[in-house]
Amino acid sequence: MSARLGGLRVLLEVGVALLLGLALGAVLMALWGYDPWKAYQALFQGALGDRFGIANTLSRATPLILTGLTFAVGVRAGLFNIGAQGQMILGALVAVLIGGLLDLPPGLHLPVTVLGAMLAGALWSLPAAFLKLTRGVHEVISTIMLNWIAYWFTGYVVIAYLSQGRRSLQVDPTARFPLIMAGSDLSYALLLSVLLAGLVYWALWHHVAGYELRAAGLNPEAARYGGVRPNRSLVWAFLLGGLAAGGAGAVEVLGRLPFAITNDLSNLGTLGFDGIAVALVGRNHPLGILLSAVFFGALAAGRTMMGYRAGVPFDMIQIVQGVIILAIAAPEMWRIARLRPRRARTPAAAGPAGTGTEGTEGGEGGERERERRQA
Amino acid sequence: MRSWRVLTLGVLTLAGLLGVWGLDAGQTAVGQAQGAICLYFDQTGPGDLSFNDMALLGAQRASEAFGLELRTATAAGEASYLPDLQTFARSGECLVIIGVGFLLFDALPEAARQFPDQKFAFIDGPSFDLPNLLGVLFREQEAGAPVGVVAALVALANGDSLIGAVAGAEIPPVWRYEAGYRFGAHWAVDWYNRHVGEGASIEVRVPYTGRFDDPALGKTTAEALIREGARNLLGIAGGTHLGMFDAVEEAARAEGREIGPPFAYGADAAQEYVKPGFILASGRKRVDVGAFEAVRRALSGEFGGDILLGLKEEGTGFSTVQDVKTFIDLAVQAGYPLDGTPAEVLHKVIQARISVPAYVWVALDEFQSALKAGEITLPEADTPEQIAEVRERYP
Repeated sequence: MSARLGGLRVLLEVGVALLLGLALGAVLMALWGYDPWKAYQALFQGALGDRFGIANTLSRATPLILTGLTFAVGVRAGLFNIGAQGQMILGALVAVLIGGLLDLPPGLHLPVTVLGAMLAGALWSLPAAFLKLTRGVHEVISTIMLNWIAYWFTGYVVIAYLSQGRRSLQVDPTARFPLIMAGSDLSYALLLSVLLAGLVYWALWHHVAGYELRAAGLNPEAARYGGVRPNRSLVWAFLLGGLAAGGAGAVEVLGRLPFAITNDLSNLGTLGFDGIAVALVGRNHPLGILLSAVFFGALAAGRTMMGYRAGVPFDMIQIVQGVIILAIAAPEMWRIARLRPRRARTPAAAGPAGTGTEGTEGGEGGERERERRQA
Repeated sequence: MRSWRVLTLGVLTLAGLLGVWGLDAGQTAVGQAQGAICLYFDQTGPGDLSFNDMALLGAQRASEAFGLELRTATAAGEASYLPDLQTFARSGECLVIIGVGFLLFDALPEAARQFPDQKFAFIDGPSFDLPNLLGVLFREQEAGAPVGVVAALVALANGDSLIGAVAGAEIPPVWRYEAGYRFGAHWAVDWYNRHVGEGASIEVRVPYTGRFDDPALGKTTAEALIREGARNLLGIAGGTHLGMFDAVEEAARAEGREIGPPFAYGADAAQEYVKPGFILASGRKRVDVGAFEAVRRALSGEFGGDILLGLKEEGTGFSTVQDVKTFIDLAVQAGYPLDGTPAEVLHKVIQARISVPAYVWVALDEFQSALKAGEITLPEADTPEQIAEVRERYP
């Protein structure tokens, strides 16, 4: 029944959850003696108060869209792919290598660098696909390990071969994304993210490969019965996710200071893992992810202002924002938890918020098939 | 069908966002006549009982002395450095924006270039020849060296031939600390061989953790050093070396001691009160003096260039008992849980200092006087090549 939720109801649900989260955060702040009203005002002002705030929000959202897509595509194919972090890191490394070491003409340098980074991300998703298909290794295990390999390998390369002080060398200006708005760090990287979100949407809902991918995600047996090759769909899901995650690394390195990777990789942060939350809140749908990433971007953009204007300490800000995010993700998490016993094979695959199983023939066919089998 | 509804909603939301964009709120608030002191921390932030807290302390003093409002913010991560600095500059409310921490190396000069009418100060970093950016640098060698002297002599007195340090990231301010520490240790060995014993030698081991905010990592690093036989450890890793203090205390207590050895040495602040009896002394880097000076200069009009704070300017040095007292008071004010009453803590700190041979303090005096008189030149360590040379020369 919940799978029949419409887009409006999803937004309503998110709205209510958001209000609850805000209220809970306000209570917390009030309990510790900070003015919640002032704090939220500062948050809003920092994130959406003027065009610079909005630019900051969108800039923060840019990489999150991409890593959100990685997780969502995985979920659609019945995977729990948490490898975005490692793929993003390797994408960033390749972006630094091509962007900083190769001399290419201005018009060519940026696209080549971005493409290289995306391919690196895709390449790094293949071991997980290979292990799953040939040895049945669960992707959660393999991607976690691949993440660490990427992390330490990149740290090693940065420190041993690319180091300039506390960061790697910077990418050439020709390989950087041009700014959309001066005085902010919003660059045309946003365009790349939105385009990729559109591409994923098109591939998943308007292309036969995407149809097969979703069918395989809902029920591989039924899909196979219907002539789909689930293994091929699975590889596609890994590759597509890897492309997006690699792009996230490129966007971060080519889109803003320090235009490099710091020795401890701290400027790449946990963009890959953040993508999981973004996808969850965005109900694993490219359009939902766009909105959700903007929401996360707004939280990040408004964070500093909460301290600067409202005097809320940083730890408290993190707690309050954590509460808000939890509240918003709660309905989806609850749904997944409730569905789990029925859908042992693909726990998160249902994307039941309606934005997911679009009611296309394939999705329903798959579901009917599964229900018949259970009956 | 449903996808169209979502699409419409998405488009509407984006349109709404763009609408707000057009409004642009016209925010160029003039603020008060003089503006606030705006203190911006990198993501390590205050609460380290050391570098960052001292910057805050100096800014607080300046705020009281000059009657200025104080605003602080901590970065959420590297990605927010530049937008945050841009936001502060754009608000027009800051007399001076003080960036605290070497990590702001790329963002601070970029912001200063974009806002030539806004004054910026860079604690721990240079001015990049920008007229509106004040570089506040320290001669950390002069804080590390006296600690090296004391650590080496205490080690020799206890029959050790190894001392160590838990370092943060490989950046010039930490290198300078390390260079001083190594130099001081080897100076002390010479002094010891001349005045106390013969044929003594010391090795200095300085592992870099790469982090300033990871006490757990600091603890395991220190435990490894202690196992290797280094029982005098300097912390030059900000919040990370708070874990080193724990490791040293545990090692001493495991041997049934209420006062070291092993001994830890703090950095920047007089950190003895954190583990009284187990932290013998601290290298002082007066970040508070630097922050205060940045505000003073912003008010006086003589701005820009680099200021270098060393022993002569009371910007660096070795912690005195008076310093320890000051920081105990501050800890009490901040609500930091002391190990006993303030008097007991101070007593234990002094007890620790008495527990080591008196000649340690004689040697320290001699070293400090010679340093002040310019008879000793400490090695430079601003580049990877320089610190590599120091490491080779003072192993």
